[in-house]
Amino acid sequence: MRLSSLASLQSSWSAYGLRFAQEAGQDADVRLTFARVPIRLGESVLSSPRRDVAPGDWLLRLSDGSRIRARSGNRIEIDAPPSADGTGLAAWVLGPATTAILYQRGITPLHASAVEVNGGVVAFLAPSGTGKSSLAAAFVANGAPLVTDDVLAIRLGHAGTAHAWPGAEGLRLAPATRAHFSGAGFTLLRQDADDKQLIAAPTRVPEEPLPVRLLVLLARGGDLRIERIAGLDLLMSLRRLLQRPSLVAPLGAEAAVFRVLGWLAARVPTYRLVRPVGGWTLPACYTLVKECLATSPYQPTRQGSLHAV
Amino acid sequence: MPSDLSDAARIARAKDHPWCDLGAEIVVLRARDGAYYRLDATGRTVWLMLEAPRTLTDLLAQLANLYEGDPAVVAAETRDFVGQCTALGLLAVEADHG
Repeated sequence: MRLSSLASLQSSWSAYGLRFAQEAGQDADVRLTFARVPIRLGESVLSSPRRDVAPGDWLLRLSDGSRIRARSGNRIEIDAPPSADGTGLAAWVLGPATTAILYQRGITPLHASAVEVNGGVVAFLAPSGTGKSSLAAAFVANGAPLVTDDVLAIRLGHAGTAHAWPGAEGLRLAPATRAHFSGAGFTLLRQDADDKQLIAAPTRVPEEPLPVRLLVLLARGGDLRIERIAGLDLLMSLRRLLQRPSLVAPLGAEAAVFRVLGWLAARVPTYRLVRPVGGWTLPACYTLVKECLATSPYQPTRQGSLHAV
Repeated sequence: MPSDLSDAARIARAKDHPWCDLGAEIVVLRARDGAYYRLDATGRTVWLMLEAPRTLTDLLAQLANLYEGDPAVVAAETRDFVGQCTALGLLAVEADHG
């Protein structure tokens, strides 16, 4: 006997320009199936006690004997006993397994929350706990539609231009941050075990690709300031802000990721926003980013300068 | 780089290495191991000149027009750059069979 569905997930959902479904018969770019999953991949580039990774293939082993496999960019397979923690499995599906699928499809997932301002994406990039959701919330509270929270999926279009795709619904905020925006029309969707709250933004962008207008890399430690960042420093900073960067090479996604990061580094105005540790600086950070938007020309249709030789 | 490289040998960017032009520098991804290589302003100039394969003679002539200085020094530094990039697999040298 094995688990045959995940009740904590909808039967289908959309995110990052992809349609996910866990029921047969529905159109889907990525399908969840409940079937036998091998204990190990035959030929892995990366193998650890918990996971195996090979080009186009990713396998996770959980302590309760469950296994999740993401492969070929279009299948997530789950092999779990009926007693398995469905909520936990869903989190693995929505997190690491989806990240593996994105890399397999040539989509680059960055650690970022993002909003839409005048037709372009403004993204806040940072490791977890550095304030990217809070800054996005400040823009949402001031009328900007939410694009994504935590995972920013970017892919190059046929014209060689990088576009971002909206992520899953919701913005995860600390209770104090949500309270600060109490009049902004945020709706509580879920209370998480880590005390954060998943809230629905009043407005979201439609499920269409958007040009990337501005990147803001968040850092803690030092006086509050914002400064331009470019060149190799920017490229390497973006590389460090990938979702699960250790998967890139073993999944065979290095070239696709480089093309996206190179395009961003060459074309998109980018700033590093440094904040002191402690203290409430969100309003000041919002103002600094707004000033950057006012001084950064927006040219979403320019050709990129990234090449494959 | 082979110091005995013939001036008539054709130099080309190796295939399958994505690269991006960041304005003051170029970064090349070596596909086989995911290593990033930064080419400074002069390296960038040479890289851009190799949009199509060309002989070392052609390359040196164009660089001599671009940079002031002793042509022998420019030639030596270019040979050194081509040699390093060839050793890294970023450039390919087609031997002169003529």
